[in-house]
Amino acid sequence: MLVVELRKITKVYPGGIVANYEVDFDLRKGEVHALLGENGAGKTTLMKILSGCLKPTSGSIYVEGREVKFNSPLDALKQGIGMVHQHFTLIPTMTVLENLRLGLIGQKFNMKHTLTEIEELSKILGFKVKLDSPIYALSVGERQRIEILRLLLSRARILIFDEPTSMLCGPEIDRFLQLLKSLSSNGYSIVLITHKIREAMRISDRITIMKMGRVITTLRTDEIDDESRLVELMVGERLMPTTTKVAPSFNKEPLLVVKNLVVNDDEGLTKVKDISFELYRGEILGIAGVEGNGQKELVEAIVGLRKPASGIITFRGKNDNLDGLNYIPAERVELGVAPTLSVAINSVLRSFDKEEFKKRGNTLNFGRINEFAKKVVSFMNVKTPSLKTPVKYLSGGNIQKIIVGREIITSSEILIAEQPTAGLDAKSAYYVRRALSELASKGVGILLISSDLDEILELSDRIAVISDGKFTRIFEREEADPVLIGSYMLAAEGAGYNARAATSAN
Amino acid sequence: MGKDPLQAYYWLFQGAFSPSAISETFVRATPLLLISIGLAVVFRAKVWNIGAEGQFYIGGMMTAIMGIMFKDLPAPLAFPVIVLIAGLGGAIWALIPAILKASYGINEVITTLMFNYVAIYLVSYLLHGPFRDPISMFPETETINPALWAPIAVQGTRIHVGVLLAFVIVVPLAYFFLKRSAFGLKLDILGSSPRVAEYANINTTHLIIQAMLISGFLAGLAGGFEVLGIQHKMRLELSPTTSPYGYTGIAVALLGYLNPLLIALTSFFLGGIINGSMTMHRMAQIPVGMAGIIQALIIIFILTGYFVEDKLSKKVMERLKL
Repeated sequence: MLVVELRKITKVYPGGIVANYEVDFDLRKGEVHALLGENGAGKTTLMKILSGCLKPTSGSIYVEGREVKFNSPLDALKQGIGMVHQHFTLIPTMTVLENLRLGLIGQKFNMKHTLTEIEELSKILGFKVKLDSPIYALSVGERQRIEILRLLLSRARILIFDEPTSMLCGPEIDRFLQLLKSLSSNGYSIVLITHKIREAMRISDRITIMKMGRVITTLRTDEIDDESRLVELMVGERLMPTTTKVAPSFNKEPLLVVKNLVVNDDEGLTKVKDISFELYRGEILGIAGVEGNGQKELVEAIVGLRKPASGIITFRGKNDNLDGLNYIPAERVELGVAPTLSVAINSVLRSFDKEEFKKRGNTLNFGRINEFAKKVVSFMNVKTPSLKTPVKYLSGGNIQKIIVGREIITSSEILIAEQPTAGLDAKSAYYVRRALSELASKGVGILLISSDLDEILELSDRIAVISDGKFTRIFEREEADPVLIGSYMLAAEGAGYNARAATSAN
Repeated sequence: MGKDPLQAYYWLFQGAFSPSAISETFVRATPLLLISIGLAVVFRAKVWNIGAEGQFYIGGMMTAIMGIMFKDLPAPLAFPVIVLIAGLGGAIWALIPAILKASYGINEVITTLMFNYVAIYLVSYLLHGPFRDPISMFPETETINPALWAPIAVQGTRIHVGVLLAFVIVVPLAYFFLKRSAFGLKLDILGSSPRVAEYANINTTHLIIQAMLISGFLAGLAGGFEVLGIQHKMRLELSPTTSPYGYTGIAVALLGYLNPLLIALTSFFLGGIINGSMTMHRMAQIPVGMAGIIQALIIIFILTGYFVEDKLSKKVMERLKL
């Protein structure tokens, strides 16, 4: 039985970008339907239309056979359609219960009734909820579960997830996929937007592949015997081989020295607890860890966006020379670009004040700026109608490509790369990884913070494992092994994990 | 109100853009233009200086004080110094809210607004007390030595050098400065998001203070030219009560999309409306209050027009691209 049917959906953004063109899509009751495609393929746009966040330019939506029109996400929710966005919509300073209550605004509210309902739902889904804990104290995985719970409380039967695992890590991903299974077996219908093929293969009943705003095909997952065929359909060519890393041939000259660093977050909680390390010329130092263990604060302190509580950071012996430091932030839209300004300007966002982009006096040399922007766009294959388009009209993936391209092409001595390939499609991710190891072989010192352990293992010369604000261990490349690293990641959570680490080390 | 509306609009137009009125429209537009260009500088960075009115008054007051003090100095020397001091007066008046905003994050809307009251009551005190012209019935200073007045640029009109400076030099300079310089780009990035600005290696503290100083300087300059070019003395009604320059300038800057060229157009247009509504009041006996209502309606219609135009052009773009 079809619970949702989209017919001939076309969406054109202002600025002329065609995000969807005559797309057909359907969802059966109780299935997990994966929507697979590269960045900018139009997956998110299509689902935002289904969840009422966007209005289609043309086309129609049917829910259980009846045609519907949505003017807001609330309209969609009334029809039982809810979406968990990539960026969560919870209010960090409010408690879990208050946030859940916010989802029920406009309905009759009965505290007792709601509490029993929450209890029942969490029993079905197999997780516990700390109702009086503020959101900011929760991990990303927990926040995600609260988002889901909130949708279920408002009677959503059709759940849409936008790249739900992109910010999760190792064990949390497994746990999340488990949750999806139990949801679907309880009769919920699920759309999973993703670009991770393995994930789609593992969890879904059907897979729809989108490319450049169109649906390429819809397949039953159990009929697919070769994953690489999916890649071909998605990317149009076979996945490229992994990069080969040349060991750094430079002498051990430290570019960046961090000594006894302690950093607090906005709430005054100590997030980085006495970290010391050196970053050498020509090496990639990977920092592995579950998100929220102090990586964000560590990086912010190094790049100068946050004042450390104590400790010393020195660049090549000097205290505050940040000129040679490039930085790919994890928060793309919030920090990495000026959304209202053009692609060209954003390509030089951190370097327009340098001599090479200026004419005499203080005037900007727009010729050079455009030249540089063209390089970024072609290197990363950014899809944009023109260099003058404000970046807010581009898809998240394309924005990310601009940031990554810009920071990689602009010359520097040190590169801090936070989740450089998260959310990128396979081909672009490959280019980024290759560019990173090329930079390192040219002598740039790279600090790589990633929740993708495979990426860290593939690229890094040394791997530091961060847990609860401390480096629990720094591995040399040869001795690194995923299981061992995984156990050190959880080291600070209890002695039990340490014991496991010890056994797997043997 | 029992008046012929067509007749009223006829006088509105006559008072604004007829050949005999057009020079006065330029004169009226000049303080608006200088103020709103200054406001465009800070508004681009999303720093909301509401204090142009106070900065304008301080500029005017400083000019009158200097004019009285330097009355015996040779004019070619004294005139530029006085004009500069008028600007500096406005800039200093903007400095305290600027520092509070840049260093401590204190809301500039409130501080600049409050500084308007401080400025206007300070000026009022000075005009009632120490600087009052003893032979005048009104709270105003004595007339400044005519040698120090802003020279008339077009004979037979009140168009003085300040008008010329504003339209011919300040407008293109500001356009170049905002659209082509690194400083202008920094303002745009700060306006896009303060956090992104920090990420882009911009010293936001300095930038906010610099932008506010420029903004205050231009408002002070406007006050200086209004005194030296038009009033020739400091009066409590330096700014028309129905449409104070400092506040109308906010509307002008926003109507002009913070673009100096469009601001030149809108301030000329709004200057015309102010003058025209006065003529309308005189000739068609429409109360000044009604003229104020018409002014407000015109601004609302223009803003709505922008909105509709924006929507329409988006629609047209979508059609074309399909």
